[in-house]
Amino acid sequence: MSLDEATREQIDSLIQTNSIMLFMKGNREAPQCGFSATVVQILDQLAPAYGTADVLADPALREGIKVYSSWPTVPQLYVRGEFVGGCDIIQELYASGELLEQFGISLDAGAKPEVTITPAAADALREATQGAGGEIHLAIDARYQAQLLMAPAAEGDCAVESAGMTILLDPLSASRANGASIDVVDTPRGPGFKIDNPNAPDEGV
Amino acid sequence: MALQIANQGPPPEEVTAKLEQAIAEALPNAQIHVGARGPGHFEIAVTSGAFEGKSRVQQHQLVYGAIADLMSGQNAPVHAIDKLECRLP
Repeated sequence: MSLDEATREQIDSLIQTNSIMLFMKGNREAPQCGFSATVVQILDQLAPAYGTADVLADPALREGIKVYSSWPTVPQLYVRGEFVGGCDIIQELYASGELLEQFGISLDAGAKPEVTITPAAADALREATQGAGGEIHLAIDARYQAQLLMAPAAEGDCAVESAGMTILLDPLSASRANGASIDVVDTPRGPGFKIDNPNAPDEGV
Repeated sequence: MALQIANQGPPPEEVTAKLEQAIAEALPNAQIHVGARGPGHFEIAVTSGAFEGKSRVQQHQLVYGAIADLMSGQNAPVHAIDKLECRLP
């Protein structure tokens, strides 16, 4: 049970330098616990960049952050220097939309993006999803990494139609999708879907 | 011969008493209920005027801050608070 001066200063500096700072087990690319992974998944939807510190790599930080925050568990999220909470609270705030507000994201309710699916992509999608449960979703995270996935329809999903196919987008993905197109291209590993998105920042970001 | 379980820790009633005492010191006049849910796992309900005007996170921080010593380190007697309820009187 300790928080030495050096660790306190380290934490002070981390939460001052990073407007979004997550203390977690592992890192953004490889979370080492389910709760940390859940929070990373949520933050990836909301913020193109955020700071993380791995408490598993630093025993002083692992104990120190608990004392610093008066909070017994990791992960812990700070936004603009303020303690937000752990995994449960972050999930609740995300579901209620409050976390979007804290991140300064406002969604245009009912906005419908234009998404183009080429006829070849529509055929491939139909074939790939035959017999699979759920609906086809296009998900675009805060770094504009896009993926197609099968998931049950959720409240607030926006449906777009193209080439006779219907795909669903969650509200955040929808806000990033206008003008996107889905095609099929040949890759060294066989045919694959290619998602072009004019809203994506230039490569190298 | 009785089966030995390693790292069983102190008996739960001893730990619940310590939890109650630590919270009472930090929040005088609070009504405190601590229940044991399993080895190292507890549930806590606290009713205190000190929660007035505080967010749920801040209320929880008051309680967690009070019991931090019991939850810290490899052999901490308290592994997790499965449920924490903070109420106003």
